Amino acid sequence: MTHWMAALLITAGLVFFLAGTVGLLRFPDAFTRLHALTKADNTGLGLLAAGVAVLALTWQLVLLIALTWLLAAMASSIACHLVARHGLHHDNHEETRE
Amino acid sequence: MMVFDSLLALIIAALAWRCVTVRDLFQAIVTFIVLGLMLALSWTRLDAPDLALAEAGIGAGLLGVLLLSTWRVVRDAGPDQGEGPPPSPWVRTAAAVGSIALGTAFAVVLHTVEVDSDRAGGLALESLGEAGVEQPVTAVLLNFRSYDTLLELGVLLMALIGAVLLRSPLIHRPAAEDTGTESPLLPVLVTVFTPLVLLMGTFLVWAGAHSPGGAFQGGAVLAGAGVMLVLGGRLGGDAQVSLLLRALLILGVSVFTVIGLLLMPLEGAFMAYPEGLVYPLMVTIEFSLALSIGLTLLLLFTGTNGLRGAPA
Amino acid sequence: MSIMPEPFALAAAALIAVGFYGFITQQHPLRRLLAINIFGNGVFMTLILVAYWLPGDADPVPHAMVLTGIVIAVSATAFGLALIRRRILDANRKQDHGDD
Repeated sequence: MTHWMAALLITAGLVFFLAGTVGLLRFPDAFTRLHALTKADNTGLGLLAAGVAVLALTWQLVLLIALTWLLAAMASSIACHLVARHGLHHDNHEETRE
Repeated sequence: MMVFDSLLALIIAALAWRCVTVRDLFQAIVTFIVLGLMLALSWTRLDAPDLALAEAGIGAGLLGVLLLSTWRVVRDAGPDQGEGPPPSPWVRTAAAVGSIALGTAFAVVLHTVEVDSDRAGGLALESLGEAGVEQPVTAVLLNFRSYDTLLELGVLLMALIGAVLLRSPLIHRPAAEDTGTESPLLPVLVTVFTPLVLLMGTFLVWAGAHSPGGAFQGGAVLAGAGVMLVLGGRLGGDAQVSLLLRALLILGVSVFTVIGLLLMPLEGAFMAYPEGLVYPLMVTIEFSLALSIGLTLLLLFTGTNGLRGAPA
Repeated sequence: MSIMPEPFALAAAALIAVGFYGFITQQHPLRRLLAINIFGNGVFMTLILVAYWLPGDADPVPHAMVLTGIVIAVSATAFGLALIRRRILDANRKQDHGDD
């Protein structure tokens, strides 16, 4: 039972990662790409972490996984914000590269 | 798992090819960082978690930061910096033929190599009980082959001294606009993450005695915390190097050497440790190594002689 | 070791070949540094593979050598980067004096 749940969660997480990657490759500019990347990847990572946590044997491990997810989500959101801010400020005098 | 390994190997080869051939310098650097992370992944598959940690932290993380900060200098200098004439098609063809031959020969040799079970590593694993630490790689680095590690630290220190000597009097500092201090979220990131990263670095050093980790991995993580403080504007480069900083930079080498020399009369050999004291000595050496390594790497990043706290 | 192609052995050979090719054909010093590092990573991969193929636990001696190698490679690369920075600074100063 737990195995099926974990498999379902992990697969769902991978689908989100796939969507984020497709968005990163297909969207036209930095802002939409960031949007695809951070949102989809944070959700994907959350689902993946949940899937692994279901399989974890001890609650310490579950806490550790939760902490990892929280830190990764925080770091990636703030990094996204900084990249977007930089892009906004420098858009005028730097041409967008392909 | 064969499918996964093959895919990973393919990704590694493709990333290396892209890193070498892509036109844009920035893309080459980013590809190099991703290549480092993929290598770390493959090394965990090959039972080398220590090296995966080191590659991800030092090879991809810190070296990536160093490469990117140098890229900024190259970019600011204009498009024609360092560009010689492109090599002629003949050179390209010759290089391609040569490297394909080299790669093929290497692959063939690697597939026919006979691995002998009579080896130094077996001896190291057998005498692990005398090493004072349970982690074989740490035991080899700090006990069985401690000369290597001492000299390696010397090389790291020499690299820093060389970089300091090369520094022009005009100190290059990251421009204020690029540090992003104006963002309200950045202080949050720095405040929340720095203690956690420091904790993780310390843990990695301590864990080196019995599980993957060690002075180099931990030192790299400590340096990462420093890089974050610098980028967040909490720590700045300084033209003056304080006495304390100098002392910390040579702490690793000196502690290593002093302990080795002090115990010589007792043990009769340089860097031989008495049996009961091995564990505390190792931990002392490892923490001082990690501090020196972290600071050296941080100073290589800031490109300045010293450090000072910036007013928040 | 075996007749079956080992994916990571092929990757190591590819890293060495590509690193060598890049070092010869690239002109920019920073690109050459990247190429040397790729070559070095191929060597590290080889040592790790040999340690992995040995019977029993992975051999700690090649692992320690690779760990040393990673740190040395980063030191040398950092020194190379400092050389590149200095070269650019000097070139800029020469240009500024030329404009006067």
